[in-house]
Amino acid sequence: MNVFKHEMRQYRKTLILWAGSLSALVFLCMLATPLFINESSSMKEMLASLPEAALDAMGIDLELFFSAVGFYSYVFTYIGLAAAIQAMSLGMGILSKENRMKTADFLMSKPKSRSSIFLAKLAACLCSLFVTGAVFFLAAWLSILTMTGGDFAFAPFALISLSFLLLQMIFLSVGLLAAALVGRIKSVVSVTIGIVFGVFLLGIISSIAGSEALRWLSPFRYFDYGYAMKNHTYEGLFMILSAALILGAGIASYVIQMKKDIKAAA
Amino acid sequence: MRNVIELNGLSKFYGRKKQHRGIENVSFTVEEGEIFGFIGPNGAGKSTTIRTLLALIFPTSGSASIFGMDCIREASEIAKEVGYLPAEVFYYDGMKVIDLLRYSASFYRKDCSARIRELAASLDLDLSRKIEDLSYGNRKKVGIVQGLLHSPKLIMLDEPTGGLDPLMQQTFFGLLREENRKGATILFSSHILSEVQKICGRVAIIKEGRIIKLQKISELQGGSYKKYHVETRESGALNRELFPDEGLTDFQMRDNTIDFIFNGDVNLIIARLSQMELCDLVIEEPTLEEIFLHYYR
Repeated sequence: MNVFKHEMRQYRKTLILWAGSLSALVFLCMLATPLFINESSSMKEMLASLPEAALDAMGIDLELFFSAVGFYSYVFTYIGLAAAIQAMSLGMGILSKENRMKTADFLMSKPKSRSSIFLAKLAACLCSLFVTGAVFFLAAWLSILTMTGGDFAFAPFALISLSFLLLQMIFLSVGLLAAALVGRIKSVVSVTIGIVFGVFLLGIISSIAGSEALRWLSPFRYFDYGYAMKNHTYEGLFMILSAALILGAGIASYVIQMKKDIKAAA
Repeated sequence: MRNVIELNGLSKFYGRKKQHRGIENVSFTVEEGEIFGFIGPNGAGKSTTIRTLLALIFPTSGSASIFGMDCIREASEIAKEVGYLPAEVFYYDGMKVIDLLRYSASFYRKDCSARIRELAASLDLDLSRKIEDLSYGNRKKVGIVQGLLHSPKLIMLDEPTGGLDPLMQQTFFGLLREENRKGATILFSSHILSEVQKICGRVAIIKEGRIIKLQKISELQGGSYKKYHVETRESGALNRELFPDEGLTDFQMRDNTIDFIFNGDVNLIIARLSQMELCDLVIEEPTLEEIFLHYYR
């Protein structure tokens, strides 16, 4: 519990900053909802003139875009990107910091098993992400409620919002695995941004190319919001893939962490 | 006396193909209540041995136990009674000294606050300062306090005095002697022989990952090692062939004087020297440094 508390204290400010920024971002973006709904016919015409590939790249589905939840799903594409950066930098940072700050000798020589240290760090990550997710969900819900006066479909809204947490779980696991494999990562933020943007770009390319194979490589494309709005569920195959990725990367990072030598500080 | 530490053929090789030797077939024991020195130059394998004992790294072969428990399988149980001070101390940014020490104490499930204050007072350490603002020497003091705050039964020190001024080193040695009087066993690793000589009762010398000598400090220094200085009346009377090959090191000849260290029967040398006319003969105890260098040649 002391390691968990210590980690929560270390990441407290970052957590407040992320939760506050993401909430502010969704609120500011959702301010434009009435405009999109009221001006839908002229905007639809304008957007329809764009090539289909450009709309795919932006994640715009003309059929769904001009509703409160449709617009939210569009905004969410970019919020998901930020959420992924938060989760991956948290996962990568929390494991690699002991090597980066050379505090591994201090922590690992204490009467705490490697397993319990890993699990305490994982619990701190999950707690941080759940808090961020809950604050974000509340902010998104209040935003859409304020803009629509309650006239929106809750189920697809909740489903889209849920992908926030799922995306974060995926990128958290990948971040943990990267830290376990590499060990000393000098700049967590730049590595995270590089990987997350690369994966996001892969998602855009897969949309434009309509490639199912490429879609498998980008977790951002696992959650098809158009599909979720129409069917009130996500595609089963990609849910299984998400779970496999979360569990696979999580378990692999645990196993590596249990077996690896701690590098000397000097 | 029961053994607190036992190493049995402990080896650690690094690299993908295990091609780099850290330590090889290291075996020794440290008895309860003793201050055991572990000497060797940088890169000899001292830290590798200690880090293996602490389960920070895994051995390639062999085994080690502390308090009769396996160092790897029961590492967290062992750590309850172990205090460790690494050569370089690093702590978390943004923490005050007292917060770090409280965090360290929280692992031991006992109230260490009085001991923290006591140790900080002895070492003249300001608990309210931020760790990143501390000098290297003061960070080392934080390391000493965090290593001793839970009154461990075994203290492992890896090159502990770096950064401490001579006065503080005295205070530190005083603290170690006090812990030892209370029953703590100490493993003291260093490449500075004078400090090992000052505090340790027994010593293991490690070279290129292998233990080459295991002896009491008193025996090591006062045993059969003797340093000879011989001066003859006429030059050319002396040559290397006059003396035995075995046990002779540091042989230096200048005109009509020779200096060397001999490990063996003093009568053997005297018998050889009696055949020549001497004007000076000095036989004295070599310093520990000289003995140490003898092993490293």
